[in-house]
Formats: sequence, C-alpha cells, structure tokens
Amino acid sequence: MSLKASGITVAYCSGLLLRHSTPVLTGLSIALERGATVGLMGTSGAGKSTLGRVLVGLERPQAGMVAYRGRALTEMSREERALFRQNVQMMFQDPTAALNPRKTIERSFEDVLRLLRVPRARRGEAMHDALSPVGLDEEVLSRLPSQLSGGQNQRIALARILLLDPEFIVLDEPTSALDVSVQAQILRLLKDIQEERGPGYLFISHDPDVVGFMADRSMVIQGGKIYEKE
Amino acid sequence: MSALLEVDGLSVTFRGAQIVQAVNDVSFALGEREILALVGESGCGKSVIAHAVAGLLPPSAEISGSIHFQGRDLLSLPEEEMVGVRGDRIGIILQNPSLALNPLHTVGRQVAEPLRVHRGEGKERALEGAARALLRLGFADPEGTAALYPSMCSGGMNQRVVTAASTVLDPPLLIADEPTKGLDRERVAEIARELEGIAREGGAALLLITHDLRVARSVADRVAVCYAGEIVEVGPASSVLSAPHHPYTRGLLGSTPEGGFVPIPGSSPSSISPPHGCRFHPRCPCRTDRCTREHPASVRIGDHEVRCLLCP
Repeated sequence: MSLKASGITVAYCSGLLLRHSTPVLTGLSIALERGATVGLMGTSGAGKSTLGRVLVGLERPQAGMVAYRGRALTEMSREERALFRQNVQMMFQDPTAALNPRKTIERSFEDVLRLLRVPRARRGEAMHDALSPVGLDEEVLSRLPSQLSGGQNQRIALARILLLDPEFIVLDEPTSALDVSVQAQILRLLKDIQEERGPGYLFISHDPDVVGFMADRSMVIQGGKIYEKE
Repeated sequence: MSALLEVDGLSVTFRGAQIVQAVNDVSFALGEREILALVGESGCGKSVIAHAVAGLLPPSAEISGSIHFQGRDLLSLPEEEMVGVRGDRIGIILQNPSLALNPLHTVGRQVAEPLRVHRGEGKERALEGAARALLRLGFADPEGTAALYPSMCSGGMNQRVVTAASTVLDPPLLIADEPTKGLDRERVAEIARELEGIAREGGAALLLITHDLRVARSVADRVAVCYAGEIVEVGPASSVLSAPHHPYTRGLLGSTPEGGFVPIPGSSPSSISPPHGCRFHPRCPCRTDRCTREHPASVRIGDHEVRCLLCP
C-alpha cells in the first residue's frame, strides 16, 4: 500500500487578472510507504507544506498526479475518495487553528465518529482508544481547546486523527511551535504510534535534527525540485 | 564585574477571575557588558520578568521585590521618569517585528524616533543617526532603506530595523524577548550572532529571553533557567548547559536533539495552583517525601545557584 505523487507542478497566480505566475513545485515526485517515515526539509517558502497539502488532496496541482493504492485521485469514485479522505490525514503546526475553539474536545471527536457512522453506544470506547495512546485522560473531553496547553492540544489533534486509524499522516511542522520537552514527548509518541499501528509519515520540518531523529529517509525541496538527502 | 541590574525577590501576581502567580521570588544580577540568557518553557514567567524590568507590565500586575538599574529602584520610579529610562537607557527588542513597527511610518522615521524623543534632535540629524544605526545592522544602503515602509521589507529586514531602533541610543542595557521564535534554523543563528555583536561592540549588557537552548549556549555568558515562575538554576552558560545540577535543567537538556529527545514526564504546572513543596516535584525523577512538603530556597553549589532540596 502506498501513496505516491508524481510530476507535481504547482504555481501560485497573483497580480492583475492573475497574470503573474510564481512556480512553487516543478515536476516533483515522492512516495510514502506504510510503517516508514520520509522527512521533508527546506527553507520557509520552499513548498514543503504545499506538497503536503497536494498529497492529502487539499490542493490540486496544475500538473502531475497523486495516486493512492494505485488509483489516481482524479479518477476515484465517490466511495474510493471517501476511503482516501479517511486513510490519508494531515496534522498541522498550530493545533489551536486545527480545532474548533467553540467546541469541546468531545464534540470535535463526535463530529469525526458521526462521519464514520460509529454507533452512539460505541463512541465512548472509540474516544478512550484514541486518547490512551497520546497519554491523555478522558477528563479532557469536557474542555475547550483554550483550556488546554499547546502540547495537550497537539495531542488532541493527533488523537482525533487516530480515531480514523489512517494509513498515512502528513505531519506539517507538528512540533515547531512547541517547547523542547513537549517536542520530545510528541516525537516519541509519533514513533510509538507508528510501531503499534503502522501508519506511514511524511514528516515536514525545517529542523535537520528533528528530521534526522524521525525519518528513515530524508528529502530536501529547493528551487521547486526535490532531492534525496545523503 | 559591577552589577548594572539587580533583581531581588521579584514576585508578580495577576488578579482577575483567578489569581495567577506568574513570578515568585526571583533574584539575579546582570553585570555591565554581560549577556544573561533567561531560558525556560512557555508560561514559566521569563517574559514577565523581562517586562517587569522594562516597566511594561499592565496595571493589573501586583509587583513586589526590587529592581535596581544603575543604582535606581525602577519599581519606585514614577511612570514619566520610567518613560525616560525605557528606550533611552534600556533598549527593548520585541518578538514580532511586524507588530512592533508602525506600518504607516517609514523605517527611517521609526529608527530616528528615539533620537528625537529622548535627545531632542532635529529631523535631519535624527535621520542621519538612524542611517548610521541601519548601517551598523548591515544595511548596505541605509538612506535607501530608511525611505522604505515596513511592508516593503522582509520579516528578517524588519527584525533588524527593530533592533536598529532599540540600539540607536546605545543603551547600556538591552532586553531581547524571544528574538528568534518561529524562525528557520539559519535565521536563528544569524539573529543570535547579530545580537551578540551589537551587545559586545556597543558595550551593552543583554538580557536575552529565549526558549532555545542553542541560542543561549552560543551567545550567553550566564544562563538562568526558569520553571513555574521561579529561577531554579543560574550560573555560567558553559557549565549550566553541560553539567547542570537541577533535575529540571537536566531534563530540559535531555529533551534536546543532543540529549536524544528524552522527554520530561508530565507537563508544566498551572500558575493558578502550583504544586506544594518544590514546584518540579510531580515531574522529578529524584523526588523524595521532603520535596512534596518543603519549598526549596536557592543554595550555592560551586558557581551555580540551585533551587533544589536534593542539592548538594
């Protein structure tokens, strides 16, 4: 099972009548496998997050294609697309922006479980199963994101992803807004989850030490192209 | 080294719907031309300490203890006198340059402003001074840069503009609050080098607030480690960051890439209801019963001051 992007080209248009085009990614390819981590580095504005969003289907490239289980995203049926959306997830840098500030954690989790058509009677157990690997008690379910710390919110964001038991997770700078001791907790947690459940990660970071710790292989985006890092 | 700044028994409490004790009994001294890094994690009180020194805390803050700068107690100064000290004798470099700069004024006008306000210089002379400050910060064309608006500069350029405005009067004390937060590794190293250069060349002391231990290690003479509103260890940067005594400092270093990303268990306590006894005891791998009951005072161990019942 793999998630592949090939020949991806993305350009952002700006100016009068969107005539000015700035290329971000040019003909770039990458493949993720289950149980393995690909590290992706590059300076600010290099296109790391753009590639991540293309891989999870949040952004459509001008050229190239993303294929999941050998099927191109553009050719998927509605059912296949729903399965792709469940199995390929993204975790963002700012967890507070990823969580609805007006909803308690329980309601944010319920939204996901309702979409998965999990019966009401089994939702409590599903929430417990998602919170336990991230080291949080069920006490947090009644809280709002503003009542939790940055590290706790990032764990909540991860637990919400785990409700879906995805095959691939794009991790976009998941620890760069966190303190050093919380960063170490989240990195170890991600490794444990991969060992137990086997998701494949694309780990995006500008920190070579963090990528070195997490990744089985590392890539660098520079000038719109991607290179394997020695 | 004589003390330029002496903070003694500083405590800061915010009273609102709840009582937040942000800083508790903090004491440290900063010598002339010395660089002291105040390190610690979010919410540990390091920025509150810096804002207390700069007289920038909101009226809701209850402050006790003393802050002596060049022999004057800043906490007893009336606001109008504090305005004269801040900007003139104490330069402050804030974290977010896009918030610190006025988007409607040119870079030159903003860098020249301290010369006009504090030294009463005319427009032309102040702009000449601003150009000199911009040149010192590495702008090859200072007159051209002075004519730009902040929106026409990159984030990195604006950071240097803020630094130029804070140092244009050559203040003897600079306070930099998280100047590298959210930047790429390359930019972090660059900004840290620039700050160190400005302090060393200008003969200023620098109080550097940072969560980044690498930055502290690369520029500071001494390091003070904050945890839950207290300084738990202070001493020379080289020894605090290589042979620490306090279990929290050891844990913090273990969490870094060099330490192998070994996390400290648990999370930082709330400032609303900090734990009894030693504030670090719920997370401390070496705690004893005594740590849960007794609040430790600072003790001297070699050239470190450590707030731990297990030391020495």
